Amino acid sequence: MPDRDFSRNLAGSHHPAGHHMTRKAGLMILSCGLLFSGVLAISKGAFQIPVEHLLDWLTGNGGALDTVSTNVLISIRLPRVLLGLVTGASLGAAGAAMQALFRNPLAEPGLVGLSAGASLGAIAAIVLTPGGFYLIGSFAFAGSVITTHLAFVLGERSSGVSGLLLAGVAINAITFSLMGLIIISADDAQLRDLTFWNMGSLAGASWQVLAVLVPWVLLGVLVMMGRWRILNALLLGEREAHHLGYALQVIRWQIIALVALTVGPVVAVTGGIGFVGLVMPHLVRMWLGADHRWVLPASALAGALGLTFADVLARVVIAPAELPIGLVTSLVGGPFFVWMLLKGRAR
Amino acid sequence: MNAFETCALSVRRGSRDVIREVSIKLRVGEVVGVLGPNGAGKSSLLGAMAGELPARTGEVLIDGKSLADMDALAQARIRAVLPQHAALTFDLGLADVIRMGAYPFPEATPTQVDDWVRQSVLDADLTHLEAARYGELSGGEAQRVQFARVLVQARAAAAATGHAYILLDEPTSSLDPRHQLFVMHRVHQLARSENFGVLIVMHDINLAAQWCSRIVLLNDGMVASDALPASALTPETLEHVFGMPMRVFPHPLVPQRILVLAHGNGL
Repeated sequence: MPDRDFSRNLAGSHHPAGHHMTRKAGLMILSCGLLFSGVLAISKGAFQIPVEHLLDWLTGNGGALDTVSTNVLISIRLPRVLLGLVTGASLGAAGAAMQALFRNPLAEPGLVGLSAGASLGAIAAIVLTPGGFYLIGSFAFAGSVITTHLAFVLGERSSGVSGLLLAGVAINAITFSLMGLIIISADDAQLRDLTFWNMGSLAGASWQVLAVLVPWVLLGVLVMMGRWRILNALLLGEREAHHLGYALQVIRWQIIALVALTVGPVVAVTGGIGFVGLVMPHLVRMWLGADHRWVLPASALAGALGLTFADVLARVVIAPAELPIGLVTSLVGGPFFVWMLLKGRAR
Repeated sequence: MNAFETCALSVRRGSRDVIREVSIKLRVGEVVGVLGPNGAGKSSLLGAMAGELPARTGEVLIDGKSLADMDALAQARIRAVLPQHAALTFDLGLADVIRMGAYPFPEATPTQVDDWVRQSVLDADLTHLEAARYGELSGGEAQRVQFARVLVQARAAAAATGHAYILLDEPTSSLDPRHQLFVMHRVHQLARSENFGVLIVMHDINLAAQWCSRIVLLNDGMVASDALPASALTPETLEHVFGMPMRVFPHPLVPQRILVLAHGNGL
């Protein structure tokens, strides 16, 4: 019975202490970790800003930082770290919501073709238009919304979740072949851009982008967090959720739209960053249990935390050059996920 | 007039009319047992009353209002449903699962919900398991947790509206004999004390005969009999519906009730 296995994985195989106190402590620990990793991420990189100078500057001791440091901090590090935070938070929360909605632990925004749609849009923009951040971003966003919408419309024709999953598979396949077609006609410079975008990067961070992205994503994540009861009810089953007053046709649409609206703009800026939306919610469930009241905020925090650390790694490992962050999350997240699967099986 | 009823209801599944022109009425305070052989349409009837299967003809009415005109939330605020198979494997605390019954009632205070949970935990005999995680339970224990969740929903509905309806699909299928009796006894009591109208789909004729106030016998999608247990469960009707000879005796221990014994080899 695959469904049973799914929900077992979905639920986490651990039985942690189920006290609210522990969960609150969990959120506290995650927040502290996030603060720590944020400071670390601001400090480390090709240009080092010593942590003690940073703390002095933060506490208002003017003159702790020289002009170069201040410039790097304000115009490069801070926006980049903030972009990492909102990206990780949106991927983590969206992953948790999708896994609950599909009652499938493999669900993540990529499942319904969202990431592939964004990639197709970005690639089209890079190859077919003059390019530039705004064109690429808006094409990617449009692509993610179109594919998600298509997956939903197609999936709606058959009842249950399987229709949507199958539609996602088909849309992913079509989207990837279209990408291939476009890539064939790309020149060398475009190809480099493409590869980089596809592997994900936080280099597109700027205050201009963040001014839109941060409030947008935070709002999306907050609204998602408000839906915890529905996601809990879905743990019982789709029929049970319906009996508890949640009209599934409406709910499914709401949550997918919410995910597309939250993750789409982020993917448009950062490119495909894998495994954060998949792994972080799993870890959170193993640690705090399956109650989405806690899983959603904790996944958002854990996603932000994980991505910030991945960004530090990406910048430090081959400094002064840097790795695409999507490469780091996949390199760390992939084997980790395999380990988790094996461990789950051994139980 | 408060009642949960089907009026000349027909339900189609695939190319087959699984329910044909069924009119039954569930009143507040009643426990109605729905019996019948496999494929008689019991689950389809329950599905139509649960708002899952659309009526082909006829309609389902809750307190005079058509179910088709009520959204899922409005339905959940007056009617709780216990489906046959519950998901078993997720990691929530027992109380967290049971509290879900109050999800359709955001206006309920935490104190009220705690109260409903406490009473329902007693009604499902789960006191000793209260600290357990749902994923650790056996099938029968999980069934009782779901039963308690449904009771919380019904209690909340009764607090909001004055009464509530409960649909139970084989609520005792995974329970040991003691808990089968325990649950049926509680259902019987709660229907009166809490103003619940309860419809139970079940297979155990004697359990139904002992605890239900009325029996609806379904056969081939139609009502074969709808009466007090002693009148509905006659040897003739039983043989006609179940296709095997059965004998009916006065219950040796419970006055006014009957005991049914299968008599024959099932062929």
